[in-house]
Amino acid sequence: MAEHLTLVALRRALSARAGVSEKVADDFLNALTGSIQDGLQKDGDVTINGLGSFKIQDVPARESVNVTTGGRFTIDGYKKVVFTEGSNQQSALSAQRSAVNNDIDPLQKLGEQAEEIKDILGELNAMSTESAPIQESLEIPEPPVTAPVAPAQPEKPQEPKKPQETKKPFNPWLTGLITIGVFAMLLIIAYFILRHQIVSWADGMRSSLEQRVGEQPSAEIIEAQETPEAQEAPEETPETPEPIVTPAQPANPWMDDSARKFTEFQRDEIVGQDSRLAWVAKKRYGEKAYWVFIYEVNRDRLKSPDHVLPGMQLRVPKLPKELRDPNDPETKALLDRLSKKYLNS
Amino acid sequence: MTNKDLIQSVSQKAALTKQATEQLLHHTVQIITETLKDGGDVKIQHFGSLSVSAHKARTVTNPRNGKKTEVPAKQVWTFKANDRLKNAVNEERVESRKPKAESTKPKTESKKSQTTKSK
Repeated sequence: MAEHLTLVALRRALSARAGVSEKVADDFLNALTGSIQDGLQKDGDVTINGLGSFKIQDVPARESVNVTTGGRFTIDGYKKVVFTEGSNQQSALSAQRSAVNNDIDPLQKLGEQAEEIKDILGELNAMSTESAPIQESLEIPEPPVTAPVAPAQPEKPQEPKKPQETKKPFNPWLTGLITIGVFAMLLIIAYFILRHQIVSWADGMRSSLEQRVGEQPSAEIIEAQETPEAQEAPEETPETPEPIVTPAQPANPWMDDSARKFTEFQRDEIVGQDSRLAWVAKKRYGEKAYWVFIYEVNRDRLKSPDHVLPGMQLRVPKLPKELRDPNDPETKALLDRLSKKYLNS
Repeated sequence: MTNKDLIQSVSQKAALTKQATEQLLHHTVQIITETLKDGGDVKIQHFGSLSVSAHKARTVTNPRNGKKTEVPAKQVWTFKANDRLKNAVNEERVESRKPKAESTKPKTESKKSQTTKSK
């Protein structure tokens, strides 16, 4: 196509493509521009399928300053014709560009791979003199340096097998290193995740046990002594210490520092503009401090207590009897602790 | 004005059937898109010009949460209206009177001149 398409060129191309005379094409194009102009004047908006839309935008009058005299004057407002390309045009353009990028990337990768293989072959040549002629023949596709001793015909069927053999002594090293690295990363990640869980669980255990120790000091000291053990052994799976948790729960599971498991829910709250967890709590429970429970239930959606965006759907738990009185000292202490914990995390 | 309205209007003006108009419009759009995709521009007399402008990739901060996001580089089609279209759009009311005024004035003048000549 021509780089610079004028009306005449467009008319010619159109008459050739549609199989009509140039006069018809000319009439059509004149009618088209005229109709677009009429449409803009009448509706201020003309859409052409496949191309885009023309719109009229009002540019309001504005005040400006004459630079030489310093006098103020107004620039009249005017109407501007704006073109917006259709969505399929945008995607077509971006697809075209990404296709070009994709074309380049594989080529670069292939080049890098070829260089790597060359290096490996060079090392192999240096190490073993016997296998040298065979590997040189492998380089045939890239540089034309070949071993004249080795005839091409008998070796050709072996060629596809040889590259695999040459790769074998080297790939295990690479793959081994990568797997070791990945394994180490996984271990580190698992350690951090598990440590956090176990520490939080141990904290909950300790607080519940401390409560019990306060109630029955003589009988529970032995159990209380067990908590350091649980803390010291973070590598143990959290399943084994569970039997110790169960006797602690009946004391008061709701007062635990770790997250509660709410089973009953009110209807979901859809967050409005500029809302916060505390406001939702005030609305639903009549007390701002209860936001911590909403946060606990919605932790999968909320990165932090402040990360509440308009339009979010939040689950609102039904509070159990034990937590309903906000003036209860125990509940107050729990709410204080939780809000500190969540705001600092 | 939708595509349908446009086709109707064009078919009336150019005295073509709607089907033919639709086909011609389709071909026109194809020719224009091909030209623009090849990096060229389209200039239509008395109307305006369509050209492609490259927008560089840039980082944008969301004012609400302060997050920075990368807007990829893209090519955007831009339209620049011709003076005639600009005037037509801006002085739609004035222009509808103007041509009449202009067309009537020279006639009267010529009549006068004729009359003076005849005298």
